Amino acid sequence: MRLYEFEGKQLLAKAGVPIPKGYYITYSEMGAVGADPELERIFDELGGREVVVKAQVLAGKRGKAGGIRFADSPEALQQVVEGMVGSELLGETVTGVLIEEKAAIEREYYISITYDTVARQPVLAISQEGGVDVETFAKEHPDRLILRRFGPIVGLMPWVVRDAAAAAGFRGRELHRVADIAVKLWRVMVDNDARLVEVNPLVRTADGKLLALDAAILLDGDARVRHPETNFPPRQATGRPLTERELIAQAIDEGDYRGVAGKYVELDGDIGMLTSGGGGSITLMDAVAAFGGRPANYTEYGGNPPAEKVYRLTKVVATKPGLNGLLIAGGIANNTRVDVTFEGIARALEEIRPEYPIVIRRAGPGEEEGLRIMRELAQRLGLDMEVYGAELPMTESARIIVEKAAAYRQKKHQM
Amino acid sequence: MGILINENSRVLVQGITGREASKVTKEMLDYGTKVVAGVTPGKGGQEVHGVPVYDSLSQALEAHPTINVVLTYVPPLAVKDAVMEALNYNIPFINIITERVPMLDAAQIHAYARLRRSRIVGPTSVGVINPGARVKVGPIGGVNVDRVYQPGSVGVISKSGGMTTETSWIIRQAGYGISTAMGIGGDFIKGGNFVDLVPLFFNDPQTEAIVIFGEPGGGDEEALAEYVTEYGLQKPIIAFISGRFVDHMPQGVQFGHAGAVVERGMGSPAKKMAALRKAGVLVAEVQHEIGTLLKEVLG
Repeated sequence: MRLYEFEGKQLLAKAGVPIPKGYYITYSEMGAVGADPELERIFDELGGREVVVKAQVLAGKRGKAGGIRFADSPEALQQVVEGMVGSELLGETVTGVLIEEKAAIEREYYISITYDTVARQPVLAISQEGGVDVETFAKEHPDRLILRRFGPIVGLMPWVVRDAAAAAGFRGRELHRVADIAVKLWRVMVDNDARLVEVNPLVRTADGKLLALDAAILLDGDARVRHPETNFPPRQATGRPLTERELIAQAIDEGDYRGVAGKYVELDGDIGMLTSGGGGSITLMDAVAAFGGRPANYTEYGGNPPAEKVYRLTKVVATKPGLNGLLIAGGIANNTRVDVTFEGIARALEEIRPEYPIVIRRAGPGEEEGLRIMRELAQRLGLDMEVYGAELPMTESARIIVEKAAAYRQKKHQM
Repeated sequence: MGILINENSRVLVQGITGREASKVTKEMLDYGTKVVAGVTPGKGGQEVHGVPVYDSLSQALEAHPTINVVLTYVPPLAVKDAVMEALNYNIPFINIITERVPMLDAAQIHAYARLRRSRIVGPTSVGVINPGARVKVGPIGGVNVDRVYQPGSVGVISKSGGMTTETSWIIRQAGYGISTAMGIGGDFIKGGNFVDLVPLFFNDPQTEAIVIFGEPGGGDEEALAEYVTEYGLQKPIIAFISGRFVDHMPQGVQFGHAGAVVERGMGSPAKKMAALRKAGVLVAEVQHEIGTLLKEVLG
C-alpha cells in the first residue's frame, strides 16, 4: 500500500525524522473555506511569509504537472488551495493538499531504504544529488548513487550509513546527521513493515539542519494485520481509486482466510477472466492477449477457497457490462478443489444466466464432479459453454474464447 | 537421486492440525512420504492421520531424531517463529507453504538460514516432489499425483505453484519424466531462488535438463542468466516467463525511485527472456513450446 506524502510524513515524524511544519486539508473540509479564516490562521502559523501547497496524489513528478505551488499571502493561499483541491492531477483527483512552511533549501540529497530482492537484503541508497531527476542521474553517474546492503537481523547500523555517505561525498558533521536520519528511516521500515521508505529530497536548510521535504512510503500489505494502530483507507496500487467492482471483490477475502478470491483488477476489455492461480492467471492473460483478445479484468482465485467466496467473485467478474465472453480456466490444481469452487461458480452463473459464450478448462482434485456440474448447468440453462479438462492445453482455452467472443461480438452488431 | 528430498527424508509438519495441513499430510502419507511427526503448540499428544503431534520441535526431535525435513504450514505471522525454531535445531531443509509472509520476516528468515547453513524453499511454495523416490512434501500434485509426476530426467523449478504441475504435465505429454519438481513461490524475497537451486540440478546425475517457470518482477531470472554466463550452462535449461501482457498494460503510476535505482531496469518479462536467451537458455514463447524444446535437447 502506497502512502500519501502527508501520511508518510506522519510516520517519519513519529520516528523523530525532522519534517517541515504543515497542515493537511481534505476536500470535505473545503466546503467552508471561502468564509473560513482557517487558511489565514494556517498562513500565519507557518511563518506568515511564504508557504508551499502540495497536491496529495500518489504519482511522482507532480511538481512538473503543477501539483506544487507557492503562496505569499492568505489570499493567494486560498486561491491556490481552491484551484488545487478537487482538480485532476496525473490521473488522480486531488482530495487533499498539504500546506507547509517554505524551507530555506541549501542543497537537495536523496536517501532511501528498500529491499534488494536478489540479495534478499534491505538496501540503503544515498546520493548528494536529490530531486526529481535522481533516476536519470543514477543511470548516468552510478558511482554517485551509493548502495549498501545490510543484514535484516542486525538492522541498519550508523557505520554503514557513514561509510555510504562518505562514499557519496558527505563530509564532517553531516556524516553523523545523515546516519542519524537513515537509522530512523530503518526504524520506520521495521516499525511499520514498510517495503520502501524514500526521502527525496532530503534537504539541508540554511541553518545546516537536515529536513525530509518529501516522503514516499510503501507498506507491506502482507503485514497490515500487525499494525491495527495505523489504519490507512484502501487505495489502488496504481493510484487510481478502487472501482465499485474492485471494492466489492476486496471485501470477499475480509475476515475469511481460507483461500484467496478477492483479487480483482478492472480492465477495459470484453473477455471476463475467471482464472485460478497466480501463475495460471497471468499465463492466461498473456495467451488471451497473444490471440488478439482483450481481458475485461484480471483476477486469480486459489488456495482452495470455499464455494461462497468463488460465488461472490463470479458475480463480480461475470456481471461486468459489455462482456462478449467468459474464460473460466486454470492449470491442473494441486489443492484447490475443482468441484467445490465450480459449485460456487455454477450457482452464480445460474443467477446471471449469461448469453455470451463461456469456455472452461480445468483439472485437479474433484475435477470429474466439477466439470460434470458445469456440463449439467450448460444443458439445463441452454448456455453457450464449452467444457474441457486436462486433455486441452491450458493456453488453448484462451484461443477458443477469443474466437468465440469475436463471433459473439459480430452477431451482437448484426442484431 | 533427485534433489532436496529422497528416500531418507523424514518429515515433520509444523501446524499439522490445521485444515489444509492435515489434508496435505494425508496426501503425503498416501503418496509414500514418511511424515513422522507434527508440531502444533498446545495440541501435543493428539494424532493427525496417525502422525503424533508435539508441542515443540525439541520434543518431536527427542522422539524422532531422524527428522531432516520440516514443512511449515502455520499462519503467515507465525512463520518466522516456526522457521527460526527449525533453524535453531539445524534442520537441513525447510519448505514453507504459507503465503503472505511479511517481507521483513522473509528477509530475516533468509539471513538466519544462511548463518545456520540450512536450505529453504518458500514462502508460498506448493511443495517439492521426487517421483523416483516417491516422496513429496506439500500439496504439489494433489491427490492424483501419478497422472502428472512420473520418474524421469527433467528438473522443474517454478515461481508459480499451479504452473509447477501444469509445466510438469507438458513435460509428461512430451514423453519425459521428472527428477524433482518444486514451486519456489513468487514472493519478492524467498529462501530458494533459481540461482540457489539450479546448481543442485547441475550436480544431480538423474537430471538431464532443467525447466524453469518465471514471472514478472524481481531479478531472479536475470540473476540466473548471470550465473550460467559466469559458471557455465552445465545442462540445458528451458525457460518460460509469464506476464508479458504486463508490458502492454498502461504503466502503473511511478512511486518513488528506489525500485528503479536498485533494480536497474530488471523485472520485465521481455528483459528477462532476452537476458536468459543471451546466456544460452532456451526460452519458450508459449508455455506448451516447452515440450518441443525438450525434444530438441533430449532427443
